[in-house]
Amino acid sequence: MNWIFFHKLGSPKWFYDISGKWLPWLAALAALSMVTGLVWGLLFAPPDYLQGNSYRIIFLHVPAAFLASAIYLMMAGAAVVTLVWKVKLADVALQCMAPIGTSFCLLALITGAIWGKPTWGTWWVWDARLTSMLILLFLYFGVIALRGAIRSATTAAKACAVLTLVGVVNIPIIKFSVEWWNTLHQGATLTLTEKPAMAAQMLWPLLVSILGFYLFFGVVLVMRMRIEILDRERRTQWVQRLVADEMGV
Amino acid sequence: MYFQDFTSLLHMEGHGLYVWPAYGIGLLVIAYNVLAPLRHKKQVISQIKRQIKDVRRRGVE
Repeated sequence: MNWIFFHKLGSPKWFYDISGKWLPWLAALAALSMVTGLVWGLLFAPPDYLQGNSYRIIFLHVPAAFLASAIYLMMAGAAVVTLVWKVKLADVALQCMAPIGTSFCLLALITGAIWGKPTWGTWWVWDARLTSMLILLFLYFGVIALRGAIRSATTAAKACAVLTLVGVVNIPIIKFSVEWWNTLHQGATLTLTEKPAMAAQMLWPLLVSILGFYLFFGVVLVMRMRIEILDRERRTQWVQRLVADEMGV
Repeated sequence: MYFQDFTSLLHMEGHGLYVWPAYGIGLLVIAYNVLAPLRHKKQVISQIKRQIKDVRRRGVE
């Protein structure tokens, strides 16, 4: 077992160097798949026989909702690493993921409301899926606010990790809400175990769009983490040299 | 393309009113996620630059 790799993985400088190399490629791939998925779904996919064209919101809504939950789970993973192994980079990741997750959670809620109007006849209902998603939004707000409220960086890191872990109980509730309770929200569109309930002409643009959103998340997360690393390591030699080189002195 | 012309694409058989604003907000969220780190980067870099200049000035004096 090569443990040096794990030490490197936790090193902010190593992360900064390596991520700078593959960020442009990741960004190009993200842009390509996002544009493909969304344009395909918006312009080329056929309308739904029941919902007409309003269903085209799915190509935005489902990827955003997937990401909102997935990012929270990744934050929980980072929280465990922060608490157990005290890897600096894990807390950087946790901090940087929170605002991105918030934005996608908001997007899922808003696009859901807009889709709900022509489909259910209402913008909002207090049913299990919608309410648990709203709670997720508040959990995101909570994690961000908590860090802002604590001055000591190490205490803030621990507190945010604990809060994130407490909130993770909400994720299975979101996932199974459409099965456990009577809800207006339709069941899962995609499952790993069953044949997709969606026609291939709609399924493919959706899958491409989901891939694009995940890649996009990767890109903006790395962008944020690189800046956060510079900010936290501003007193170290390598950051000073990096910025001094840029100044041309 | 599924739609015959631009008007029918905009209208989407009455659903354009919902679909287009949803995509507009999607675009805003994407733009926010790209622009926010770029703005933060500018701030952080200029702070570190100031810090370096301060240290050098003190060193000269």
